[in-house]
Amino acid sequence: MLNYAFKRILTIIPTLFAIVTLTFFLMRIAPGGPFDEERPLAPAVLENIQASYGLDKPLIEQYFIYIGNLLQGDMGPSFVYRDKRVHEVLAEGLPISITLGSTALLMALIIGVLLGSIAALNQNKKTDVFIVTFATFGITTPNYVIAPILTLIFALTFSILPATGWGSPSQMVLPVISLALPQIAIVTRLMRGSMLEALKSDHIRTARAYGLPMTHVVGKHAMRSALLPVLSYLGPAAAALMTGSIVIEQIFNLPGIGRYFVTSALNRDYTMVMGTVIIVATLVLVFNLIVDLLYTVLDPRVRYD
Amino acid sequence: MNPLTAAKYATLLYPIKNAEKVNIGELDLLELGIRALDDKTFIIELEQATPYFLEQLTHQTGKPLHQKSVEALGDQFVKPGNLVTNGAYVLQSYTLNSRIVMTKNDYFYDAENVAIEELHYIPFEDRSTCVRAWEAGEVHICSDLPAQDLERLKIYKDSLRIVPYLGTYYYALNTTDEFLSDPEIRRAMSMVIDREFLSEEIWPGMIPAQSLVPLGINNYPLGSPNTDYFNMSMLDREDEAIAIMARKGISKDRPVTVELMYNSGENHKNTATAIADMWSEIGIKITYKIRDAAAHYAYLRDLGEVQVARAGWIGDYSDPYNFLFLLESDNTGFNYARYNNPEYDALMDRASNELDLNKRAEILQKAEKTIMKATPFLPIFYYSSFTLVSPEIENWKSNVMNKNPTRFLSFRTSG
Repeated sequence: MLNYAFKRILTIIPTLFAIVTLTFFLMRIAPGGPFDEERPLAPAVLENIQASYGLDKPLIEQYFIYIGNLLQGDMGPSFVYRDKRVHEVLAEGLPISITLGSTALLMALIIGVLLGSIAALNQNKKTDVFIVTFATFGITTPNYVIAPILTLIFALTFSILPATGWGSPSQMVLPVISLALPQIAIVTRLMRGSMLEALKSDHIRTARAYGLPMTHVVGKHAMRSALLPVLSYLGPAAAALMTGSIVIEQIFNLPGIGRYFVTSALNRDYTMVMGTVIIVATLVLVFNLIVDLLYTVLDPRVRYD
Repeated sequence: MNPLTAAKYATLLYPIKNAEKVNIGELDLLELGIRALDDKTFIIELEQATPYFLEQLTHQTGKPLHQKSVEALGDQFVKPGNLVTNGAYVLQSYTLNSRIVMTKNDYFYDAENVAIEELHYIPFEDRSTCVRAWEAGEVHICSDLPAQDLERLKIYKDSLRIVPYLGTYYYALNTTDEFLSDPEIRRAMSMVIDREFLSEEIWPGMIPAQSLVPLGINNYPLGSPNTDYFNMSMLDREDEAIAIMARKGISKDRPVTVELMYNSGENHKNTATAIADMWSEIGIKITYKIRDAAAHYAYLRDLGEVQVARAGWIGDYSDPYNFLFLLESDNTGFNYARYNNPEYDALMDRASNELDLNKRAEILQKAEKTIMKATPFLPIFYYSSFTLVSPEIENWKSNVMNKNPTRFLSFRTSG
């Protein structure tokens, strides 16, 4: 398995490289540049400013300069935050996004798996109907609806939690709940389905026929196979959660990195666009690898040799 | 004033003698018309009279920088601990997208009259979030509000400040375009726009515009000239516009297609749709070209092919010249209408050399009358500023520049 992991890591590098190359050139096809605003710059000024960022060089040369700097861990200057390098900007926001994202992910995993299993064990009973209703509500209600409602209730009406900001644990509560709610709902539904299927499988029937206690049958045997679809979903979902959500960041005014995915593209902040793409791509690739490796732990039929 | 630093607002300082030549690298920096008389006095020599120059120095380009620290630290001079200032507050910390903390500067010349000790600026990406933070008591002042909330926010009475702001939202009509080169057609297009409707339904709080220069501007005692059709009812205006177009052989049944270009945005879209509907009555059929802001303005700057384009202008300083100069023929960067009228240019030139402010205002008014008649720009509304100010804050004074330096504010003492 170690061998397999090593091989996979080796394929991540060329994949990343291809993504970086593609993004670099695609981005430049878009009309307009980082210095086009409502107030146009004088032509001489524009030329100078472009020269100072090396934007006047042939595109292919710019590309090689960029790759060269990237290999040394420098993502270049941001065109919008003039006194900062892109990796400095991302380094300020990323820990916040990761803290938020991983807390929400953990919540989604624990609560979702629990609710899904309970629903499956009580199929078609009142508990099941209640949980499925909750899950459907969670999936269909976007978080730009949930978040302001939560703020209205807990911050504005009862004043027990802050409405905006970042820094104290109490400021994390509402954003994490808003971020986790749809994920809890999705995991619950996935878990309910796969658990139902697992409970019907031969080895579970055998286990129950042997008279093993129900908690043992569900908790140990059914759980393992039921978790697989959840895991496949969580890989990409984790990458998405940890790179921040522009909606949640805007509503709670959090300094995460989710905003850059939108603003950097709109501002034609070329280097920042590259930075965000690199982060997402890396996380997606890494989480997919982790999921694939976890498969071998959960499912004895999966072997990488 | 250096071609290498490529300052965005350098053109604002062009009234200073030789500034333009220095900024594009034709002259040495030492040739700039500024010299120090002694340690505490300097003299600025101007290219021409420029009566608005003092007003213009209130713009951020008029603020001094500490030369030694800028030279020593390069682009890091703005970091907390590095930034040297002569202002009322000193930068304590700066967390990107989160918070700027400033504390009172004890070395400020008027420090004894600065009441507020510490100041937090919090950037809000979303205006509704700022409103919620204000309602939750997390911020004292919220400096921009979502228009759709204005009606609801009226419950806060005096805390809600809606004030005319120094800016105009307009459509530029390309006067070099074959169809739009006819001033009568441009006039008809302006006449049928129901600005009251747009301000009420799409842009609540904004003021319907009847001129390019917004209300409440300095150095314009008589204000903008009256344009005849604004006194007519909407129905009469429409009838007259239809008659004008009929003379050109254009009507609802025999329409002409015109392309309208705007930058993406919900309200820009609503405005464009509403205006297209108004224009359809006089036989103008609109096709749209929508780009995001960067692409839109890059296209205009590169003098791409354009018929009608959405634009806006916020005054840099409070003087009508700062709006009227947009249409000078040599102002290629801003003159999206590509309006070229030597008579207008001559008036603007005269105004720039007139030191008597009343006479100058008359000349500028005449200039504005010229463009309102020729209609290269269709002013649609004047901007307003929307602010929520906590009742705890004292001395907040509403003004067209929407500037309220914290050094003049204070907390209301209870009791």
